Amino acid sequence: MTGTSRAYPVVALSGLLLLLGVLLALPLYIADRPFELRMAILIFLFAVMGQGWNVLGGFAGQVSIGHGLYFGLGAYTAVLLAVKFGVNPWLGMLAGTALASLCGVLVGIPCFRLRGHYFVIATLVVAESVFQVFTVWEWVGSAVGIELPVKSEGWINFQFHRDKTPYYYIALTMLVVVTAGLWWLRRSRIGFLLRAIRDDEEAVRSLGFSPHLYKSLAMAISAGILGAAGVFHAQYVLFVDPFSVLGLHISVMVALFAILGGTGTLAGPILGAAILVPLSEYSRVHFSGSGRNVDLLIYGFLIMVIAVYRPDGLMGLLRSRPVLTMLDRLGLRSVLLQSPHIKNIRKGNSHAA
Amino acid sequence: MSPLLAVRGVSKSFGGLHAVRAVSFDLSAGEILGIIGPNGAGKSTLFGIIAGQVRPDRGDVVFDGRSIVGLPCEAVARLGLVKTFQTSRPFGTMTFLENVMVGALSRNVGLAEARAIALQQLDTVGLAAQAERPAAWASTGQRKRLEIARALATKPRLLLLDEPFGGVDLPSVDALVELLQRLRDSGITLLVIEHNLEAVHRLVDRVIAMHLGEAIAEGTAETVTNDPRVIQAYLGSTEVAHA
Ligand SMILES: Nc1ncnc2c1ncn2[C@@H]1O[C@H](COP(=O)(O)OP(=O)(O)O)[C@@H](O)[C@H]1O
Ligand SMILES: [Mg+2]
Repeated sequence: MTGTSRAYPVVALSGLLLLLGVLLALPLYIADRPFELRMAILIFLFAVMGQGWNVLGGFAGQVSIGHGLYFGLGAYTAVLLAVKFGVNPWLGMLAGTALASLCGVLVGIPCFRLRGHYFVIATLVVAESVFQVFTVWEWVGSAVGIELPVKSEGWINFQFHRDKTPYYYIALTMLVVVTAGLWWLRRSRIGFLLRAIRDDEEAVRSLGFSPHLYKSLAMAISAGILGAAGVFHAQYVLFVDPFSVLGLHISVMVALFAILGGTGTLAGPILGAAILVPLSEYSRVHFSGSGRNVDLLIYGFLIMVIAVYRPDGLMGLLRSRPVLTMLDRLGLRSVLLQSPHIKNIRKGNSHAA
Repeated sequence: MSPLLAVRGVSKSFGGLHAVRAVSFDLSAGEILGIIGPNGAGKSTLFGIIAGQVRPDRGDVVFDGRSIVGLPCEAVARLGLVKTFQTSRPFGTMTFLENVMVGALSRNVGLAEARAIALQQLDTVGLAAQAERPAAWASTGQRKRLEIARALATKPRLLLLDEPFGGVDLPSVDALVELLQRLRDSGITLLVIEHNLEAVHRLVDRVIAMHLGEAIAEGTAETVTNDPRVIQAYLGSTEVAHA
């Protein structure tokens, strides 16, 4: 389905290309600054995770605070395949993605029967249970975790030791691919029905659709993206342990990043990661050792602020009146805010309030 | 000819309350059957049972020769039996057009074709001018018609309408009566719960009156609304029939 050319102004496209150009060139400036490079990589990684979370939490409206589970499963799959069976990490990424997807669908079978808070709590309980199992399961390294054996660096081994910029480009590529894929998904039939399910599941059923089927599809995509991100993370730090990939803080951060940015939008999770990752990294530096707790304080505070003032996140700011007026001038409103399915209708009828 | 819909002794209680008691009736293809009765008579529960949203304690529902009791409501809808909600449930973040597109998508068409079908159905119910407006802005009467358009977009054979005239202002009642007659002429069978007895008189071929979960009278609109038991049922409830 194509929109009219007017609906996609040159402004928007060139803006995106410019941003992409800047991001592609950025390593020229930060390649020898480990702190900034690491921060950029983490922003991309969390943006990817936020996008993944958003498919289920935003598009389909099923808020999960157990998505660390799929991140962790992806990471563990690649590491275990490499350590126990000598499998190449890129194959590990495929396997990690597939396994995370599958587990997501299985978790959905009981959980999708639950609504609202009950669903949220169920996702949390499932993720926490798996976390507990991994802390005592010897074969997967229990609480100590597993190190990836260091190999010669290069693209085939997905390991880079002196210069970390390849990780930057891999993470950026993942973000671009995922975002483009979700852009397409949102415009597809599936994306459309997910929106309807988010609005009113009973009404969707009454029209002949199985909400479970579509929620499972959303879950498969969502969990798969988290799984792929987990594999990347394992290759980046060459290590997995239950706390760092399956811990509750991962689940909370992913959900929070997407919610802060704005659920259901494509820019939201990227915005959320771009703001919160630096916040968390700087607080870690400034409050050394205990940094993690300060993160959590800030996150808790943000959750309250969002809940009270901006339930639709930062992207919701775009819908405030002054911003709308500005977007109209630039011709960007339809690009950023309008639902993707109604472009072809004549303008001019019935916009009176 | 066997009926399109056969309801056979269905009952449903909630706790100790018998919401529907041993109700049976047949509905032939092309017919418009009205269901009247005071609030709490069990009309919506009966609709829920037929549409697969409420599981009956006893009894059977046969649609087009096939028992559909126990099928989930989405499966019933795919067979061509679609029900609207008494309190309309539009998709709140969607436009009128998008709402109807969801219904059209159940026919396994692409988005472009769904849009064409949806525009056509919005036109049928007289909401074409609202296509681009957010459904959240719809008035009660518009919501009712929007829901009818959404259901129509699935191409149902049997349409169950729960109080379609609720919240519809007087001039629109005529338009709605006319619309439902047109739907019948296009081959859709209609089962309609309605309080507006004037509309019922003009619309239906046959009426069933319910009271306290039971079907207490059946026949033409004329005979049923003059039946002493029906008058007693309405008088006994706080609701007074306006006719
Ligand atoms: N889900 C439910 N749980 C408990 N009681 C219900 C439920 N649905 C309906 N009832 C009760 O069943 C009776 C019939 O309700 P309903 O079918 O909505 O009547 P009507 O549509 O004729 O007004 C009412 O007393 C109502 O309170
Ligand atoms: Mg009712």
